[in-house]
Amino acid sequence: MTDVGRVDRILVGVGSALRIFLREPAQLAVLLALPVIVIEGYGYAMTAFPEFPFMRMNVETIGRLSGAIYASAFLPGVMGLFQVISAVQADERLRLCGYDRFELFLVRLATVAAVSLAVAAVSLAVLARTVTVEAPAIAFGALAAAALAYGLIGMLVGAALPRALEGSLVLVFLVDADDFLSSGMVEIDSRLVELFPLYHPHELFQSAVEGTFADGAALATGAYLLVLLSIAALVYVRLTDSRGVLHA
Amino acid sequence: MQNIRYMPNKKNVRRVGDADLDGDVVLRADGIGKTYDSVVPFVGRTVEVLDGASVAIEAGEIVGIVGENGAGKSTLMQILVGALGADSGEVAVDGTIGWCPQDPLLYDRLTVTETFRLFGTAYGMDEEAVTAARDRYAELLGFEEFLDYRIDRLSGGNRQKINLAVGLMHDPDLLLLDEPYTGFDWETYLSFWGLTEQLTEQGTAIAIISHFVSERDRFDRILELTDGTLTDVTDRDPDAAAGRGSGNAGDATTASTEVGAGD
Amino acid sequence: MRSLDRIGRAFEMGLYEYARTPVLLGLLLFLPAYFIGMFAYVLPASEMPITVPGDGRQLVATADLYGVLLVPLLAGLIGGIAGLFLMQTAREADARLVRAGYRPSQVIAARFALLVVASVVATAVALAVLSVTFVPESPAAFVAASVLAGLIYGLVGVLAGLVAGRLAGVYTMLFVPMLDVFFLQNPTVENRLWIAPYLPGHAVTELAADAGFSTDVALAPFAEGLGMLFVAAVLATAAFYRTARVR
Repeated sequence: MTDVGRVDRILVGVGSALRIFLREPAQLAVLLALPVIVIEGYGYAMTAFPEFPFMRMNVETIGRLSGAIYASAFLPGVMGLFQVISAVQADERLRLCGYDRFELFLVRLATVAAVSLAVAAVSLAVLARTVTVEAPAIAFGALAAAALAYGLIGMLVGAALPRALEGSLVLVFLVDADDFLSSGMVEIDSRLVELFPLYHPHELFQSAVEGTFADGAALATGAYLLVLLSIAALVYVRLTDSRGVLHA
Repeated sequence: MQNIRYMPNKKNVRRVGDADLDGDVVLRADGIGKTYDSVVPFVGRTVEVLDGASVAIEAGEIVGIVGENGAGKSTLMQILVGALGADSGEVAVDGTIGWCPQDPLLYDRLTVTETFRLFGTAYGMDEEAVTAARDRYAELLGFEEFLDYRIDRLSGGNRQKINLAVGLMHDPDLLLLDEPYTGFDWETYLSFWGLTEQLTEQGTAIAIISHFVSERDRFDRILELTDGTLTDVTDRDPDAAAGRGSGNAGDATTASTEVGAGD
Repeated sequence: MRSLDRIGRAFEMGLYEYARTPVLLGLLLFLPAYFIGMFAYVLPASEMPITVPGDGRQLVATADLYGVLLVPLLAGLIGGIAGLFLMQTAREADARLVRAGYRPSQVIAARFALLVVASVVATAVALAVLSVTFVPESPAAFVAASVLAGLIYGLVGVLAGLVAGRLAGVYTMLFVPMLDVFFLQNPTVENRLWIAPYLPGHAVTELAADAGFSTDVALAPFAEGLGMLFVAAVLATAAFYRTARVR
């Protein structure tokens, strides 16, 4: 009975979480509008720059590629953060009614994953209108990986800092640093930058657009995701342990 | 009478010191202590909310919990429910629990029906049972016409009805209700007391945090939370406690117990 | 004089509310340190040519350039988020204050004062971290430019929060300040795109770059910056009046 119950709980939970997401008009509008705005915005902004010798493609394309990755990544990041923050109290009640913490984590995760796939698809579609993508399947995988990575980070930040102001501050700082360092605007030779969540997906994505499969980047991306997943699960399940989230 | 026990995941409702509690005792709490520390040392206040609070609740009884604002009633209830950890003491529960928190902790963008489905699934109820419970409480508390409304589109009183129903729907052995009738109209208020009578006849134990203990005869016992502990004040005359009439000079423990005077 | 009292009181209360959150204070110290420190470490030891209004074209170290751009950017980010959430959390309480007797202009003045504090703190911390590796040539002008950046984006945050809501506001802060300051206003670019002069970061970035690398700072952009601040203030105030009236 418990096993069937578990599947039921997760399915119903994900259904509820998705409904909640879709019924927030801002989120839906952002899902459709953000990729276009960001891709074209970065593409346009980059046209002012000269082509530096270390750049692999023309500046506008570099801008657009960056825009595609950022749109894919940062939407789930914000969504993950706010999902966790806004539902903290109701989730705690739900837990008292019978969900265990791991099930709640899976529900949130599945929702973030669903949104990640959606935004990756939209971003790729928008990009493909102006840039030829040689290996679309791999490109999609790279975008989805970037999206999921930041979705997990958003959930992590939300679980650790369950207040909107602080959580947003941290997310914005993480995102913008990552954003710029992987933008291809400056040539970075330090290995430290490889620790940033977008570094490997960016490599993977760029080569997929060019038509090659950067297997090193793919491996690194996969490993990164696995580590993030484990940390997020641990933090989420542990940190919310009867510390009284219900005390306002 | 068939008593289907839901919440299969909540075997861990049995906490420290549990076994089957003797006799009809459904909940026993011993020496509960809780202190809220300020985050930064040496700065800010440390508040000792609970200090050796103890209570035992038996099947079929209705217990009222009263006290001044800020006395710690909601904190105590959260500890009994398991939403908050106590610093000291033990809570043992023999059976399933239903909790109605003071604030409606619901998901704003779900409809009433979807809310029941979600919480029903949490309890381990199948679809039929969920629908039956939903319809039963919709009729009893009067929210039948709102089943397809989103929670954030309901008035405060209606939201509270859902809040209450969600805590009851799985027929728990013990009900912990924190100011459950806030915002209720008179009819619903009466329906509520009709419901509690039914439930206690079935053997459900109920504890209610309330300000309106002018309805004292509805309760089997009344406990007052002062200075971190619970005292049985069932037999105390409220007028005497307020200092009117003959008065009991020995009631040094009571602060202003204006129980009938509302906030 | 009573008006000043009221503004002062509202400002004081707002300050206490934020100063009592240790996590927030910790973040205000740690995040700029992280950002600037990371950049200083990771950027290559190369040089880039930039155009600065006071001194014309010169060659500067890449790390120094981005450090200089980072201070107003970080002030803008912190000011922007502060502005966004300042209005969100206080909005209903402010509406009540207004009904209780405060004039909307007094509430706004108090909140603006809080934004000033946020911008100053952000600038101070970011500059302190930057100074470990690089000190701007004209520190006073640099500080002024950065605080102004924080204020302008603070008001943008307020506006976004009142008009579009919290979520849209966060997305705005994620993308706009960075795109503005680092990309569209970047001094390595000789010919700016047409949209650059109309963005909030235009004057302040020019000033910051100028103050960072030359001792002879062209002060004309300050007028433009103040003009931008004024426009932002008018828009934010209008939005506040509209929301304070509802309910």
